[in-house]
Amino acid sequence: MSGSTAVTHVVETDVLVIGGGTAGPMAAIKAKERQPDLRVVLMEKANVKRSGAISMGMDGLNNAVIPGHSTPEQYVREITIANDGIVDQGPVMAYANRSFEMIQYLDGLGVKFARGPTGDYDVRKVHHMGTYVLPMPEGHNVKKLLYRTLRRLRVNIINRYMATRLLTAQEGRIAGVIGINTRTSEFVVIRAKAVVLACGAAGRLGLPASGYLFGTYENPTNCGDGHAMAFHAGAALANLECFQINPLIKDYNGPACAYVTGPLGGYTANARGSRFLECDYWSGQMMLEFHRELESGAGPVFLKLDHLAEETISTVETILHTNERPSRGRFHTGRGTNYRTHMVEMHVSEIGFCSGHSASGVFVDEHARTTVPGLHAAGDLANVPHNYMLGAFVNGAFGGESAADFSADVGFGVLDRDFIRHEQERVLAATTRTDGVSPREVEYKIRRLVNDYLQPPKVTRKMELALDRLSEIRDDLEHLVAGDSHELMRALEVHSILDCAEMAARASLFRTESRWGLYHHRVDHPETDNDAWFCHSLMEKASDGSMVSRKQPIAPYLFAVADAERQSFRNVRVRPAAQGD
Amino acid sequence: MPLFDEGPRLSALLGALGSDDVERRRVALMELADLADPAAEREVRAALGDPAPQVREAAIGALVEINGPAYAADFVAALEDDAEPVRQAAAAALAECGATAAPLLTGRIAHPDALVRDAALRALTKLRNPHALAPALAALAADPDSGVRKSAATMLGWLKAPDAVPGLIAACRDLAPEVRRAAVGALTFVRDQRAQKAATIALSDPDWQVREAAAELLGRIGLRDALPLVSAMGDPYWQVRAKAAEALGKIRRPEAIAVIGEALDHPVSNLRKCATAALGEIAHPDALPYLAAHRDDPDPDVRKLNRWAIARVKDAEVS
Amino acid sequence: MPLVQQTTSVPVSVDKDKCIAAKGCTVCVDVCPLDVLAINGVDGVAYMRYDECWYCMPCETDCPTGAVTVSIPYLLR
Repeated sequence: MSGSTAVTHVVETDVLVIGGGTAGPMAAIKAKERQPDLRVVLMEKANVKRSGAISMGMDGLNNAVIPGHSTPEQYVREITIANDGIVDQGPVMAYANRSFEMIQYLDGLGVKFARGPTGDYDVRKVHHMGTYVLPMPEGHNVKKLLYRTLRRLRVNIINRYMATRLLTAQEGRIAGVIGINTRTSEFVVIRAKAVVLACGAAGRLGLPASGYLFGTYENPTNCGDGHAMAFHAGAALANLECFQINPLIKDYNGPACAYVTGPLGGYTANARGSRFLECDYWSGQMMLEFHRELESGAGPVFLKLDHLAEETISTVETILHTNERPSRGRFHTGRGTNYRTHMVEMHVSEIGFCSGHSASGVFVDEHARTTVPGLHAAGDLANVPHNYMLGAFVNGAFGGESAADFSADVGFGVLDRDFIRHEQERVLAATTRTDGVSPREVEYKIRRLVNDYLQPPKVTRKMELALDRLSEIRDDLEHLVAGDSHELMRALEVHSILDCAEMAARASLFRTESRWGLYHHRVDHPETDNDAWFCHSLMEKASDGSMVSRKQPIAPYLFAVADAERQSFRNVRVRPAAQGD
Repeated sequence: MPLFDEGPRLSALLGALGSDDVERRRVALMELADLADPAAEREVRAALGDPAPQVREAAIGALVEINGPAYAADFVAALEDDAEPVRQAAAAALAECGATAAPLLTGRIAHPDALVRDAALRALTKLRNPHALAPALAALAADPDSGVRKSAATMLGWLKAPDAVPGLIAACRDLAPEVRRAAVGALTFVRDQRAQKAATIALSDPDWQVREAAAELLGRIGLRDALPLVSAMGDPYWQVRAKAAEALGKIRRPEAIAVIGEALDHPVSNLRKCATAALGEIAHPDALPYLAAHRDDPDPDVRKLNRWAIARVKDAEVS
Repeated sequence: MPLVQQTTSVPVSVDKDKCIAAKGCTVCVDVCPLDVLAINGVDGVAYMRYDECWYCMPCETDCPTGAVTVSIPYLLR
């Protein structure tokens, strides 16, 4: 096969959404609701029915701003502080203002949220200050309801097509996408007036402690191809050095504590069974304390539930073992772990890019617009911090609506035929070889190096070594062999994983300070330097194709956060666990 | 655009509905659910009369996806199906039909099948349909199935109807603990002596989760009689004591300080946390010795609340 | 470099007697996010073709006949 003879379908649409997980379906739905006669295409690497981070549902909302429990202003302050100030408050405020409306919309679709005895939302406290957690003990049907809504609105769904490069027109605006069928290797070129990119986290960056390539915290389909495509299309990516690192059950990729078991009385403990965290809410500072305890004589770290009553533990099991990670019960059974009698060993996750739990990703404004005209981004891939599932829905809605509006005012961008031909050759190259290296080997090597050299605490010399090794691997991409269409998908993902690994190293080297707790803890730049680094770092593609970083000022705050407030919060968080707890 | 042309798929699936093979008919209906094309309505509805129960069940699933509420009457008819999986599917489908199903469901609260009665109550709960009040009260009082009585109590809580109060109070003595727990919770909307009395009695319930719900209820209705809650601080379950402490904090009774203070020595930090927070809420000088003695609690979360509570007590002294 | 095939264990197993893939069912293959399942052209039964399982379980949950079982991959146990 060669690029010129490959089967290529050509599709035209007003709005194209890439990624059918959480933000993507909502973007498509809201684009269609905004303008029902619009042509909307939803393109998905897997199948929209069960794709993305919430394929099996979700057990709760972590950032629900509900009247009577918290205010948008309170939420914006809290997110600002939790991100050490590196926040454009506009998009956070836009999210907070629409959060409750989105909950009601989802409720109308049939999503079940926890209700108190008189039918009011059963909001729980987990964060430091406000009350934002709304459990979803029956949240297993979210994807089914989204899919039904997409069908009713006549959104055109293209499953099993993997986007490989965004297409841009001469003047730099978005023009569409090129992708490949993961089963047949047929190409599709989709011309679109506006695009929403919603490809999820870059979750196959680090290697999980188990060593299993697909045992990642994130759904492994979310390998960072959205981040890579945005970069190659010229979009800016923000604060990539703010890694996602989460506390997980050791060897199993499930989260444990704060949101589900916390309100029921469970907590993170050290080997003595004592609490050592001020608050189980996930943040960089929390992860730093977690990491310290893990490495100390009081470690390792455990999820403690054995002090709870039988009835409470049954409830915990029902929720944890049916929704987000239903295989968890089997994992515990296999090891003979019973919440009633055993604490559950925990560990830190591999690193990744994910705004759901940190603050990195494609740089967007309050309408989910990237720096490329017509290109939007939402969900775990875009940089609105601490997004979680509800943020993906709300920002997806912003992106879909903005894309609908944008497409109303413009025609199609002119496609660059040479670019498409070159891309088809790049994509198919691995199928033309019979001798070389497999995608699995190259992926393993990249991710093993990420663990060796990029996993925090970060060390300058190690990250420089990472760049040397990664550049050697870039040459190896020319030797990738794909035996079938499925392996070709994996080979293409390796390209994206490598791009993300290099971005992770370069972004981390650029910011010569420590910030966000463990997420960007640089041993040889241990202090936070607000004079030099109270700013975003933006990464973009230079004209020679290389990765360049620059500083971008933080947008003026809508709500000032006093130094004292920030400092008191930090003191509370960083205060070391008392010896002998 | 060949990528989106699903016409051929639709006609193939409609053809497969005529197959002699049960599984082929079922698979075709699953695919038609995926397609959700209203053009398949006639054939899918006909499949509700298929001899094989798994096909009838799949037909319900397909109708839900095509346009659930439009087929509420079909689903109600399927509640009489011989096969339980079909009845279950029909009940689940009705629960998603919204207001269109309400009049059809109200009459089913007295259905001979407990599964149907329960499904009807659950579906009506979300709708907060006032016509369901009387049959729900009847179910709460006399239904032989405890699951149905529990669903009835829950629905009455959502309705927040003053007429339901006597029935809910009576249900606080139901034989089944899950019904008593739901009934105590449902009384949260009542703000008078009747609820206080029922909750006080429920604080002596043999089931600890009912006692926990009762303590929570007393905190929510906010009446100022602290005595029952003070006794609840002696409950053998720390979970009940934690809710009692929270409730005492909400009603801010200084006479409770001594019993709450005792809880600061309990080995479970969750209880120490609630007790410390309660002392902060009460904000009375008498709490200072207890708080001062526990400044170095081994749990950092409790220490944080201890600092906050002491500051509150001192603020209260100044003003 | 030259390439070889190697043996590996996979976590998804399918009960041949229950699987109705031969009747046109493709549910498990459709819902797998990693696209690791396929239908055997010889006996018409679904099977796990690639060792890339996230043990997320839609294949098991959505199977209409209960034919699919997902276990925890060996490396994680």
